Amino acid sequence: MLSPDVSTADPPRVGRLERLAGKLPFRWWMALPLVLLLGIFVLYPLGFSFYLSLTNYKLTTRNLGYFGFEQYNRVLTDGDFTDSLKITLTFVIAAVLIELILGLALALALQRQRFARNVTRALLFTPMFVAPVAVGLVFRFLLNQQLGLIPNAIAKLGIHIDFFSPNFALASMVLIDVWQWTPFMVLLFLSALESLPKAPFEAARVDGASAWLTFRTLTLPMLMPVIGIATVIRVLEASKLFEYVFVITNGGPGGSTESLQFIMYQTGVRFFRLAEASAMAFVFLAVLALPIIWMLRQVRKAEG
Amino acid sequence: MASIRFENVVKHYGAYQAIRNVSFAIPDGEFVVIVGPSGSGKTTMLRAIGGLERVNSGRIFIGDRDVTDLAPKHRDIAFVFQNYALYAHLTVRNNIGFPLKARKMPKDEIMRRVEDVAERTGLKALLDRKPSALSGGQQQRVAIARALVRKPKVFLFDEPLSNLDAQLRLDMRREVLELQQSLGVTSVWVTHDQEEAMAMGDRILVVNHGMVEQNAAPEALYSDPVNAYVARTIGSPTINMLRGKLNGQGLDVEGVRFPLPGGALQGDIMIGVRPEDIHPVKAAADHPNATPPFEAKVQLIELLGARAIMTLLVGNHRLTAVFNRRDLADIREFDTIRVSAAKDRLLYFKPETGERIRL
Amino acid sequence: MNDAAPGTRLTPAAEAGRLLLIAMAVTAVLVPLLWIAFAAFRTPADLTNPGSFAIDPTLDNMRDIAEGGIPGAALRSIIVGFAVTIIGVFVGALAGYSIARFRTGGIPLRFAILFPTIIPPTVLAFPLLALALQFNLSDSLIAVIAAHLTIVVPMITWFMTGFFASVPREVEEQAAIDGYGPFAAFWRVVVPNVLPGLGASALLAFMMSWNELFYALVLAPGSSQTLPVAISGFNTFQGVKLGPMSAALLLTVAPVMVLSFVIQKRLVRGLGGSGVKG
Repeated sequence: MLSPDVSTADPPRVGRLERLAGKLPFRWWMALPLVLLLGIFVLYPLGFSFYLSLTNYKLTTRNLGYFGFEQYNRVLTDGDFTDSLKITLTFVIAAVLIELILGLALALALQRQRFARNVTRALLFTPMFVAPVAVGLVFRFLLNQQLGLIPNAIAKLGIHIDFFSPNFALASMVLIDVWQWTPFMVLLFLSALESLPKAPFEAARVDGASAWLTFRTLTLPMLMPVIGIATVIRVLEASKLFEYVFVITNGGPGGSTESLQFIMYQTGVRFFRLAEASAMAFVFLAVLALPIIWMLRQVRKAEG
Repeated sequence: MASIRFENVVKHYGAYQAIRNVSFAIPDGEFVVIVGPSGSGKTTMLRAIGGLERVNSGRIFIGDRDVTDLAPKHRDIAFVFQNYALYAHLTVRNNIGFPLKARKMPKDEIMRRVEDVAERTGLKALLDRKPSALSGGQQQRVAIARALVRKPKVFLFDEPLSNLDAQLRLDMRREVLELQQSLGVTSVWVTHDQEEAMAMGDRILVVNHGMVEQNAAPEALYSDPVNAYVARTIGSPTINMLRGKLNGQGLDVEGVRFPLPGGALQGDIMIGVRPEDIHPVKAAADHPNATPPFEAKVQLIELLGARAIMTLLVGNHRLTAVFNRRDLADIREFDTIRVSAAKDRLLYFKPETGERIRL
Repeated sequence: MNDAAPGTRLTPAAEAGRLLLIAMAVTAVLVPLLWIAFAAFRTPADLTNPGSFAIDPTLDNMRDIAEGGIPGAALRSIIVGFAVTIIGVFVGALAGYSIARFRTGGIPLRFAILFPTIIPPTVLAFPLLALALQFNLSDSLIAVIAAHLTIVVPMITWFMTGFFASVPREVEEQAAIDGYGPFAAFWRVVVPNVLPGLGASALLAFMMSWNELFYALVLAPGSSQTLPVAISGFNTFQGVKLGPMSAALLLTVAPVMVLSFVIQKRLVRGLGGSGVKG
């Protein structure tokens, strides 16, 4: 009844569960494409970029000779760079702060929404999927003093704002960023809110806590990790402000919207001062060090 | 069909010893149960037999073959996981046929075998369903069918019934046993439920902290345990353990005297009395070889139909007893009654090591 | 199934505030989107008059851009998008599985994966340009694809790690016992369980590539422009032609909007919940 079965003949000295015939363990074969990609297209350029920053490579002197830290010196003492740093910092703080608060409020509001629930959410998420270029161009015209719908509409209410004036241009950038990226915050917060355990909230309800109290003492503390992650992600992304500036203000008026990414682009592509641009990039990286280190800590924590 | 042999097997995870130098032999065709609490190493042993864990030293034999360094697919074993590990994206038919497909069996042969096994496990009507459309018991059967279809030398079961409700568990238990009997394939079954172990095993390995405490037939484990740990593990409700000093008149446990004989033994001792061996004195006539009666206060009566679990208080020591419905008669909670224990069924243990002393 | 928030009901005032907030948000989102939709079909006269709405729809704008560089740019964006998606999902899925199952590379690898997404694109863009020049690939799509992959592959790897982690190990062990090697087990038994995740990854990858400006601008600024670059070109002239620009914007925005509707339900579940159950 139990006849000898197919293909269980004595095996050769074959390997274990996780090894391929070959020198690399299976898991490294699987990760190899990724590692190669990172090595060739990230690590190497990174290294080359750093090397560039130590040269004096520009359009006129395409010289790859060692130039010391002179570029860094120039960058740090250059008024343009430090101004740009201030502008970018202002932008990031304003934008992320507004997005956090607005995003949290909307997420809470959406969580309780029953009517047309999925459609509303789908709609509110769309801005983050639109190309930033497109968003920039649209708002360029929506907020335009003469042709734009919005200035004309609010003028009827007695409010007169010149959205792209030297005083207001950066604020307009913030406005656009908020329009585009608050949905991202809403997405993160909504996911988090919906995966919170229901029992403590129902207990709070039975105990008679008001919605505000529940929020303050229960919801908010539970959301802290997500708020942290969301903030860091947005800070890192917002600091790369480029598209809106590129298609609307071109850095103006009067240099009031020259973000870091923008002046790096200008220095590198328009003026072809590659060495200087590279140095700027690394200084930028250093400025971002804090959030980056925080992320590293989170990764370590997640690994156990 | 094949025997299984462990020789000085050791497995550790870093500093944690999962299997400490274990050796045992399982004869061909037997149904062996490995029983122990969580973390005792029983699952690790099972997985080691199957090749899902590699051992640090020692050798494992299936039949005459040393399989210690072989991958699972070369050991000719079948494994049934606790959560069945069914392939959710395949139909029942393809789930069962999967191992045959892996071995490149011809299609019509696969079909034949799958139908055959489905018939045997009562799955014929469900062949074209997907696992998500099956009940727990049915999923269980699919897992077993998949194991059967390859006609392996050894079946390995990792607590397969723990996810089922009580009645289903009993039904499946019976089915699996009948199947194994008719096939005669060596089977190793891991469980934490000693009742299940006692009901199913031709032989039981009681495992504790990576060591096999005793390897014997159920009856032997029950009436002739090799130490206090085995005595406590086997039998429900748990055996009563009384620790005290033996003198001529009985066992003195912190001032309370139990009239238990000790033969030639004196001094510090631990005596085990099974709840089913404690009887009310009225029924003493049914139980020759009883100890002298002693008084006990009834604290709690848990009525279980034909029997009742009694929680008795002697002095300030709690004893568990199991009475027949008949014996229960007009005994009520908070009554004081007289009971005696079956003299010849007492178990004696060394107090520090738990080692059994045979009189 | 009650998905609505647990906890205390809101006072009528708070409830009104909540609805108002949502209404304002919906309006704020709709206005620019609708503007694009309508503007593409409006005559120049209508466009310069902020008060009016589409009374006289015209296809002139569409025709205008059909003759220019826009269709070519769109096609190139599609090509890049597909290449990035296919390669990205393949590399990312394999790596995500490796990390989820075997903790390959430990913390250093996990961080190395995060890294390209954190650093400013300028750090990589210029050297990549130099590299491209080296191989005579300047102003080519290959460089753009490579650059996009540096963003997409880490994202997919991260994303899929969660999905792979939630496939119970026993299923793979069972496949091993049943006779399949590790890659066969991965392919036949693990992958089918994470198809939703792969689908979402593919959509996200395509969208990201379709929308990306900076790398495309630096690496393919001329005749190999992708759509975002072509559109940004509408900026350089004095009197921007609103009509054609709006049509081009619609072309850029529409596909992704459709895709986003498809993906949004999955995203909420995927980010907050535990992924696929077997």
